[in-house]
Amino acid sequence: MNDRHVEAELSAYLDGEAKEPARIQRHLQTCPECARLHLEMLKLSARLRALPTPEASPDFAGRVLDRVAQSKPSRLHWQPVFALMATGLVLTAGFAWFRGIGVQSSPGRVAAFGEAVASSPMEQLASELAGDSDWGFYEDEAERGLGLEVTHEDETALLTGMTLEDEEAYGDRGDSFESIDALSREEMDALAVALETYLEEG
Amino acid sequence: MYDVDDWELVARAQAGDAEAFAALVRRHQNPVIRFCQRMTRSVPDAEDLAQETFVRLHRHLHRLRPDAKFTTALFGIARNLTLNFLRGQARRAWFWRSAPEFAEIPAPKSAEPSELLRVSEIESALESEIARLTPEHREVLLLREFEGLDYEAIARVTGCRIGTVRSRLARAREQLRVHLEALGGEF
Repeated sequence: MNDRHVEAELSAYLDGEAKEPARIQRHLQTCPECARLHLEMLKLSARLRALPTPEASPDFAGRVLDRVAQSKPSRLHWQPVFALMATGLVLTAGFAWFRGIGVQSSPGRVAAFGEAVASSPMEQLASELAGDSDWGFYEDEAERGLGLEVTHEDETALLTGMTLEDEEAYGDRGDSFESIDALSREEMDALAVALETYLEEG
Repeated sequence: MYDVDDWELVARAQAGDAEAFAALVRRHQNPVIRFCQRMTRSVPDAEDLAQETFVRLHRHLHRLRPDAKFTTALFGIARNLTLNFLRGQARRAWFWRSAPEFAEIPAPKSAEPSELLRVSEIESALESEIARLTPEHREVLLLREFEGLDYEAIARVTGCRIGTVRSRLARAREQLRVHLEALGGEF
């Protein structure tokens, strides 16, 4: 029994807390290896206890007593209250953030949003601008107050470089063309004869 | 008042005797600072933690009962505060991806100049190796070797079983012994 090494029990033996101190003592008297370990443990313990001890600053006790005197007994512990408030804030912020992400990530919400956009006047305006627009659209949109205030006068100037007065003058000439269409066959023949005579005379 | 038992001072402090509480602080301030300093490896933090230990002791004076050693209650508070401090330090170190910085414990003073280097070297090595122990092993070593608490008191302070105290203490001592042996010198 005494042949079993006791290195694992030397620490407790050193402290007087070993379960079988008598057996360990007997083993140490016969086992040089465990005896050497025991001696090293003793030296280690002595070295540790000889380490310099830090001392409190001279006003340490005074500062403690000041703090004790200043601290009023409070029934309300603020630390849990602050922790609760912080948790509430974090949860609220997290919920708001999650909802924001939810709008972006929910397919149903995205589809509904897309339909709403597609039916909006601005979307109609965009499709008109991108594809087969007619000029009447601008008048309609101007009436609906979409900010595209294109008047007929502006539209004329934009397209022809003419003012409204120019267009009216052009319209007068158009009226003269209509008067040509209104000539009778006899008048047309007479006009053709007159033209041929003019060309022959040269 | 130094010849009065700790629990007698506690009883007086509980009755409102401020001087009795001051005597308790002065009696135990150095051991508490020593424990906090070796647990945290930081001189200024150790004083702050020790101060907080006594403030909390005063706050809970009315709950103290003389059914154990007074130091068990005192070091129980100090131990919890230092472990919380170390956890916070570890969290900060993880957040900033850096190792926690430790202040150097002041070099020991030796009377003999010829022995100064040798003693200083061994003591410095011991302090470094104590700091390298895990907090669980470090606290049992400090409470036993420096504060002289028995295993039952250490188990009360640390909240673990006596068998755990025994094995942790044996492992901590073995780590220190092996390290000093590896340094190549008689210690």
